[in-house]
Amino acid sequence: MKVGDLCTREAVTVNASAQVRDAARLMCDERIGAVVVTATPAEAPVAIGMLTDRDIVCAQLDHATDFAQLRVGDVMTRDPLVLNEEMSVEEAIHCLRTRHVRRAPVISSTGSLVGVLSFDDLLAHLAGTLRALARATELRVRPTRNGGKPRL
Amino acid sequence: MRIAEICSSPVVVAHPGQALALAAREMRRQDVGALVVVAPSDAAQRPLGILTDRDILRGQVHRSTDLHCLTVSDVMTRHPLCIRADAEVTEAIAKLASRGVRRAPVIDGAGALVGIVTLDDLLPQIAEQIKELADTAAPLARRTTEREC
Repeated sequence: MKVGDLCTREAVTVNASAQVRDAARLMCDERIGAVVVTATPAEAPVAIGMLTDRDIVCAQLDHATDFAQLRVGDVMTRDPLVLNEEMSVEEAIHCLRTRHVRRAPVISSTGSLVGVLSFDDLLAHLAGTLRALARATELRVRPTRNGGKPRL
Repeated sequence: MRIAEICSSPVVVAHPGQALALAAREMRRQDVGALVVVAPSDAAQRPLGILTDRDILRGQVHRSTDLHCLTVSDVMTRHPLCIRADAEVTEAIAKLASRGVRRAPVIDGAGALVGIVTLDDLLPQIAEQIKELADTAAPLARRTTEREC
């Protein structure tokens, strides 16, 4: 299984020059705790940072200022961990754990942003796999009505 | 495994009337993602609410004001999901999932605060159980395959 198969394809993005207040409103509307910060060259967006709710709150404490005076580029985490869509899921988990982050932008082989992979995506995948395994095991051991023998 | 064995304790708490900026600073100083809100007069610290970075951001957006002008009770999530200390890990995960939250205060039978549990605490436990199951099942599966051949 590859990162590109599991990641959320429609990443919510903001531009580094956007106001933090607008980014915060977007995060609330979308019910998410982080957005990908992008630069937009002519061909495709490129991830240059991540902005989390904690980044914003910490910046407000440090600068003792409100949203209106902050830009996303001032507050975001620069040089974020970036995962290639061709990377294996196991390798991605290792990278996330090593960097102590729970999500990362996913890029194509040409470097353009294609989505975001989070621990929640990985958990959903794991739950689905276990459910399928449980169902298969149940089918294998459940006796038939007339013979008492396994169905498979 | 019971939640009491894996929850974090002691819990960093806040009070409803506390300045939000002070509570946010405490979250950062203690490096925690949430504070449990309790009444200052309540020795049992029964949870009244929970405060996360998400709550702080959402409160400011909805009220069109700044965290320096707000108190904890203005933005906290009231009536938080609480998990009993004697609950099983799987039961806790199901409850967290059904409420769509990542963390919950842990309480005893009288409702007193005894800890806090997060999904991040629970996942390694599940992973360990799956690994044990896999290690146990692998030799059985091999023997079954050999017989069928």
